[in-house]
Amino acid sequence: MLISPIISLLSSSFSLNTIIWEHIFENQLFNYLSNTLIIIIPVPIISLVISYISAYYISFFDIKFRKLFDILMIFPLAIPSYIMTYTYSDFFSYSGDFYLLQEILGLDQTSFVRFNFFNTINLIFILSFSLFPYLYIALRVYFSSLPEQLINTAISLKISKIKIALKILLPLSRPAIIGGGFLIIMELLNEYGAVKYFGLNTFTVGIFKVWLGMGSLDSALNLSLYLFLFVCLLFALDYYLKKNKSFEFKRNKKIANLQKLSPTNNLFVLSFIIIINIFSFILPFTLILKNALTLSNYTYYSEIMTITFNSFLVSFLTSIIIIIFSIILIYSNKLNNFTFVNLITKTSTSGYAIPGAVIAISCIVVFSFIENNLISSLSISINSTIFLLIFALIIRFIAVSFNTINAGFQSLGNEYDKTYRSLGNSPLKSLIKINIPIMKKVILSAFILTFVDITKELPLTLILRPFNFDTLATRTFDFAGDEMLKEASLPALMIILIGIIPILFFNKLKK
Amino acid sequence: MPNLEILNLNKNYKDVAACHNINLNIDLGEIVCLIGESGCGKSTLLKLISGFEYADSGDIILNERKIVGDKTFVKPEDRNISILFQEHSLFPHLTIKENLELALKGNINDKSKYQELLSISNINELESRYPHQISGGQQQRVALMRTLLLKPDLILLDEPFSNLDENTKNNLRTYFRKVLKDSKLTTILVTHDTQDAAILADRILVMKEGKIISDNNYNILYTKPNNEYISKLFKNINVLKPDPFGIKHNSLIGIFPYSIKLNEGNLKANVVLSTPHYDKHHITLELEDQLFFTITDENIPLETEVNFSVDIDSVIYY
Repeated sequence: MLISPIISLLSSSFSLNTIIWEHIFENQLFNYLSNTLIIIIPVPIISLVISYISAYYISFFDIKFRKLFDILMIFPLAIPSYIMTYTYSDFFSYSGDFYLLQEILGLDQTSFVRFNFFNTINLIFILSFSLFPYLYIALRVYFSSLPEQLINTAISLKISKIKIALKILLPLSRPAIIGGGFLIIMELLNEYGAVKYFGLNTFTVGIFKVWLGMGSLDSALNLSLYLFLFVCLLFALDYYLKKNKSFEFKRNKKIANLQKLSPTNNLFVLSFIIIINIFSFILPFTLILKNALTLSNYTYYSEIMTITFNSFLVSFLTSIIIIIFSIILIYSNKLNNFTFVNLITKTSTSGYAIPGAVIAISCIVVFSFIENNLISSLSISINSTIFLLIFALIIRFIAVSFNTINAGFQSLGNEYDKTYRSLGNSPLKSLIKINIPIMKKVILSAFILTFVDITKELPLTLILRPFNFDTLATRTFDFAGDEMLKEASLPALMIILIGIIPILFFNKLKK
Repeated sequence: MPNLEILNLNKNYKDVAACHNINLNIDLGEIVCLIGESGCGKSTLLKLISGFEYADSGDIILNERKIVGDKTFVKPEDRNISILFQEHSLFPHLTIKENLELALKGNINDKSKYQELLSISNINELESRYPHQISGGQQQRVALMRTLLLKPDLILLDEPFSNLDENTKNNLRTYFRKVLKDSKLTTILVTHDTQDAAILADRILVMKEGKIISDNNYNILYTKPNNEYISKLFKNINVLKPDPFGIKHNSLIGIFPYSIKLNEGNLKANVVLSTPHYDKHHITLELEDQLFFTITDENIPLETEVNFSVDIDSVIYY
């Protein structure tokens, strides 16, 4: 069942012969591709510059408030790109705080600094500020695995700090950069709210337009196939780039001693990190908080309560199912290491790399087929039910929990399991009595990560939500679409607060 | 004037003294070995000298320049000290040539020295390879060569042979000693392997709990170890309780294996292990729960009870 949408996608035809598809193919496909490239090329590059400079100085230098900045650099992950976009849009609008601030500063309206917000460059920067933590985390983890001898040797060779950063560490950290960059590109391909708001017709926006605007599910499916192939191309590129090019080190126990910076350099680095923190988290979070606290429409609170409950219900149920599936898949794979099981496991966890809109459309196709052919006599409709939404969310996010739990199982090894089973206990008993209790922290981490990701997810939920059913993400999107940015702030704030939980949790776990 | 002078150097980690009141002079071209068990403070001392750790108090003077003092801290990159570690001395993404060039900095004189060193160290054919494509021994030769190109005032070797097999270790020890002596470079070697110290060092400093407890040459430490800790480090002597051997002493004693003569005397012990030792036999004996060893010409079957005697004059009283 888990791989059925991927199969349905692959079995759809490239040579679909309808007027709509012909129109899309001739007039829109290139447009979708070029608009997608407009964001997926510069955003990872800007993110790399931001995260590399910050990760380098935070990892190896004794800068003030280092530990605080280290957490703050990850906080932007709690703000989905679409929420950051709406917030900045509100900030720079004619009645927004940007102009209010200038008024407070005593500027005359004629001398106001005007800012044209709806510009693709601004979108690129907003997406970079929102997504750079993926690269930051990958680089920080890699830097902390580097042996202290490597850095000390470079210093004793009198290699300058800039040269160490560019000639030694940059090429060494290539696998981390590729890994983090790949995640950013996947997030960009899945991006809908922000690009739609800026009117940029990317592949994902195209899928929505074709399906909802032109009413052609077949063409939407075909477009999804092109996007899927694009993702496969990126996978191949990722594989090629990483092949034989990684220099992995054993987990480093000794952290390289932090170097001192001159006062001037310290000031420069601090200013850079503070500016990044302000634009990527502090400013948008403050604006959302301010908007949420100044709302006067109290009837709206009860609606938000219902939506929060909906979001919680969907995220909680889906996460629980995902955790159970992950444990079953991983443990059965551990017991029977068959190539077939391996293949199925890998395929079923590839959903994270496939944009949400593609999965949503594929799921509709699969369940339409089941309804019309397999259970037609029962007159049951699965489409437009919460069941379909949860099913699609499982496909999209099972990889998050799978990879986390699998890494835990790998480091646990087979010894405990074998010892317990050699005492005459069944594999199931070993799973329940030995493996799960030992792995409870890892399983909890996987649950939190999955829960948060599902709460933030927009395009898939937008397509598959049942009629009159909203989650925090879809309500934020709808409010913003209706230019009710102030109202959008409360559900947005809830999403951010939920997103901050894992960051604090993992930080505590790290200690 | 010594090349390196350390005066009253102290370093504590919380309540533990990693280096306690260290005083040390090393002359130009001298090779000094720091030896001791794990956690004795030898690596901390190396870090304090190289500048990767800050001292709590004390002075370090290198080549008549104070590099650590009350208000002095010269950054590691400005100390003209080179370090060579047991691994990760070469950057894995750079070829051997590129690794070596990091020490050249475009100096023409250096380039001629580079060619000379390249041929001396027999690594000319490896220039285009990456570190993982050459052996561990070759990697350390390259790292040493790069160190020489920098013309440092002091070389620090941090367990440079730890990850190598015995044959390579032996070749490399001799090679390092020759190169370092020919270059007249002052060197501190940190190791826990007494063989490194035996072959390379002019002087051996034994460290225990952050203090230097002995400063001697290998010959004296090996033949006349004056305390139990040193004896255990060198593993060439049986450290035992005196009573079962009929010796009256308040503390432990040291008995060299050659002082134990089998098949004579009144003492009795059981043979519990026998292994070949070159053309002789390494016999382990047990007496009142104490194990000790001796070397014999002929093998003795296990479980045999043998008579033995101890040459009292060669016993060391700790």
